[in-house]
Amino acid sequence: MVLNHDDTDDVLQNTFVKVFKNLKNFKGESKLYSWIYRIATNEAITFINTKAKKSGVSNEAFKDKMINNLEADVDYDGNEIQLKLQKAVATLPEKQQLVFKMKYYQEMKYEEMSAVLETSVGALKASYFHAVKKIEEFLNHN
Amino acid sequence: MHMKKLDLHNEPKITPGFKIPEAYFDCFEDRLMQKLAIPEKEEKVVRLWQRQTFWLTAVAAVFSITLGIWMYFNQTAVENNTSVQEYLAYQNDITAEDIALHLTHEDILALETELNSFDYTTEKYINESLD
Repeated sequence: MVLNHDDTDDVLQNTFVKVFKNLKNFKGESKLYSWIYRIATNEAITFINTKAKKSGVSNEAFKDKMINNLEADVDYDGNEIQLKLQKAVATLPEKQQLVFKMKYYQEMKYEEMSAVLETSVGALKASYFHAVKKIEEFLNHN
Repeated sequence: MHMKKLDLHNEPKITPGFKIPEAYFDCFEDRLMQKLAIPEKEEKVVRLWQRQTFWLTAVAAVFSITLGIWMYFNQTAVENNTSVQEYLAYQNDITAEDIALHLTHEDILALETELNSFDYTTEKYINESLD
């Protein structure tokens, strides 16, 4: 989500710190995996919002900057089509990006995604369907 | 010439393209533990202070509750006697004869003694005050 190794490292550290500090509050209402994943997702979104605010730009402008920096990033090893797909995904609304990445890249089941994103399976399926359509359109026109 | 339209699910899977830096996870745990260790030390200092305050507060609370309970029962006992006396004095349905029926011979003797001594004491006080 943050498209940058150093930022990903920060988000990952923050996630595990939060998990460690709040483990006593975990009531087992969901799987531990889902709970940790949800924390990680929220940390990533918070990180982006905080960094955009500090830079004095909108979230969209900040994400545009991140995707434009991707090609020059030493930790990014993608080819042309991989980079194009990342750029296509970056045009989606934030939540739809999450849905697409979780389904397409990580091949998560809709039920697992539902537990993480606290959204119904039906809504997730619809969101993914529309995400794929938008991405295919972007890739076919670019 | 028509270009083939891309169908994401009929094409080979396109992976994200990110790579994990070499040995990234080798020191991840140590760095995380360092981050977790610093706030923990601060917490230990705060806990000591809180424990002292906790015990002082607990002692003060127990003392206040004990004092309150003692005062309540004391007050209740006084009120009970007062309320009984007021009830007997002002309750119109109960006559002096009703009260007398419930007094034993010993109660009447004790009352006579008290009334006699009261009269003597009062008389003596009045005489001395008028002088």
